[in-house]
Amino acid sequence: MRKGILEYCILSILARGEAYPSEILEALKNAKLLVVEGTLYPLLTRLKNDELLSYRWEESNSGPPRKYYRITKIGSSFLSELDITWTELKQAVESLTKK
Amino acid sequence: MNKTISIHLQGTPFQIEERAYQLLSNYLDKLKRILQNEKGAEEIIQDVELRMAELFTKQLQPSKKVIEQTMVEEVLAILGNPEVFGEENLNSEQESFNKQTELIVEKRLFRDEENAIIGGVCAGFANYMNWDVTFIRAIYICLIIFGGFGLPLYFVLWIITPKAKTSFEKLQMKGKPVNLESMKSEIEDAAERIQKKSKVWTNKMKEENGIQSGIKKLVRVFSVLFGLFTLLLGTVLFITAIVFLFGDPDFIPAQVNGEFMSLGDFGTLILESAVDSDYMIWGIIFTAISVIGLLWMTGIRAIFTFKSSIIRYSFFGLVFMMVVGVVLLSLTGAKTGRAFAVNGEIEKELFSLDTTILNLNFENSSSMDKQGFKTVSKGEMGLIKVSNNRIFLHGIEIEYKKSEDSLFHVKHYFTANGRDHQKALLKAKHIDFKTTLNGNTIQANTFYTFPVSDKLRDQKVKLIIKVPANGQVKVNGKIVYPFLEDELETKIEENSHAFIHGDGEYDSW
Repeated sequence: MRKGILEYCILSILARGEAYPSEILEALKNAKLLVVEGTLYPLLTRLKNDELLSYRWEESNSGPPRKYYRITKIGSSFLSELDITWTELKQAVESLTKK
Repeated sequence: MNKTISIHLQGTPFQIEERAYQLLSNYLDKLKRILQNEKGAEEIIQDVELRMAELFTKQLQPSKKVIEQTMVEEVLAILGNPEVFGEENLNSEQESFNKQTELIVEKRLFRDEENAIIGGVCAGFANYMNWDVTFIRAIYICLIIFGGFGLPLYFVLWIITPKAKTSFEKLQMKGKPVNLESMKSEIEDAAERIQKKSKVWTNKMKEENGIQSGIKKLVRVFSVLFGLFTLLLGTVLFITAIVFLFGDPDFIPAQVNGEFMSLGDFGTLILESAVDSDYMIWGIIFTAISVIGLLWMTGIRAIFTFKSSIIRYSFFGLVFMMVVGVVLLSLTGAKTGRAFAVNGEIEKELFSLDTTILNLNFENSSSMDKQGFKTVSKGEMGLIKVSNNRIFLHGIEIEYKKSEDSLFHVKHYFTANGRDHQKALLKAKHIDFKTTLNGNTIQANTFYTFPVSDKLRDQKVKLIIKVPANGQVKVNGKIVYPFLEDELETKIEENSHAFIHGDGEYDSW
């Protein structure tokens, strides 16, 4: 269950602009959504294989080249779909947990 | 002293202690093993190695050039156990929500858009009835085909049935008890959908693109066909225009003897002056060129989708040309129209006869050829013959009136149109119509003539015959007036009309 949400979060982060994995990790860690970094990479690859994300290489002065990920058109439409699902989910949970 | 090994992680070189290398190597091997069934495993490992390189680079300082075991441990801790992130399900997260706090809810009818083909009415109904949706759809299709009210019913249901929006509503729709367990499974379903849907979504997008490109292809085919059609139309018009303008063919069926007239020749018979004729010709040329050009351009644009400023400028050029052409034609038309503005009529008493029978013999000398054969076909109104600088028109109108005295009175009555009354009268006077009297027989032609310089101005000839009481009129030996009772049911009118065609045929009304 959490993985689906992680994917949603990754897409949301990338919807704000392109980023390389360390930046995505940073954002996820700050939100306390990620315990171990390794979780991210299979997700990124899967999203990329599903054509929701694309990437480009960029040389870095301070280390190895960086893979900058960016959300694709398909990714954006999927994200807006997810937004709706998420809102529904939230409402559903709230309707049950409020009482 | 420790042995160091040179390695590179995705192109970044590192010096690493042997023990640290072992640790790192084990980790990556384990990761590879776990990911072996995963699509894009190499890429994941590449990403992980990149991250490692990044973390190592951060750790290394000018004074510390070799990767040590502690550093590797640290990095591996950050990255996490391959077993954890390599596998899909995080079982450790699972907690038991088994305390059932059941909330039995009333089942409600919702539209199920997740399983919809159109509006999800059938799917929702199937949920409500707990039937198979295919069965419901089959019934529905039968209703539409045989009942006729199926279609409106569908739209009514579509409008009045709410859509199941929230997870809660979706459970209500399916009639599942709403409790934490079912809610959780619904939510897990949703989460799973997020995971799985991404692939479906991608495919869906591709399919949509497929449909779109299919439509595009269809549109393309139509536009090419349309383009070919306009090109062909333009070319046909072009050839026609060339033939008409340069060949000046005789195509107007204007002459009684079956000969034809060219547009230019016909124009000179109607148009006031040679200048008008030029205007008309240029007007036609401009209009034709612009229409043909626009057709061609439309065709080319439809077939080859390219944009060019030349096309745009020539488009405006052609439109301008068309405007000029139309203006020229309208000017000529207006001027010619003005030449028809006023009607002039003259009449002249020809004969007065004291007789009971008046014979009218019409002879169409022009249709008699040298061998004495007579043209049988009707010389239709409006047919023109030009000879010796005179225009020949055929067909004479006859009007019968009651005589005020006991005599036959025969008048001829000429009409013509002109720019003003005087000109119209002059043109009417120019009309030459031959009649001769021989005893009680009037010999007349079925045609009349006027000078070519007068132009065609609706010149017409009418014979007005005033018939005394008991008087009879015979045309070519046949009694035509008064009409026989059985021929005309109504009583004979005060005035009656007849028309002698070019070939001498008599029509009355």
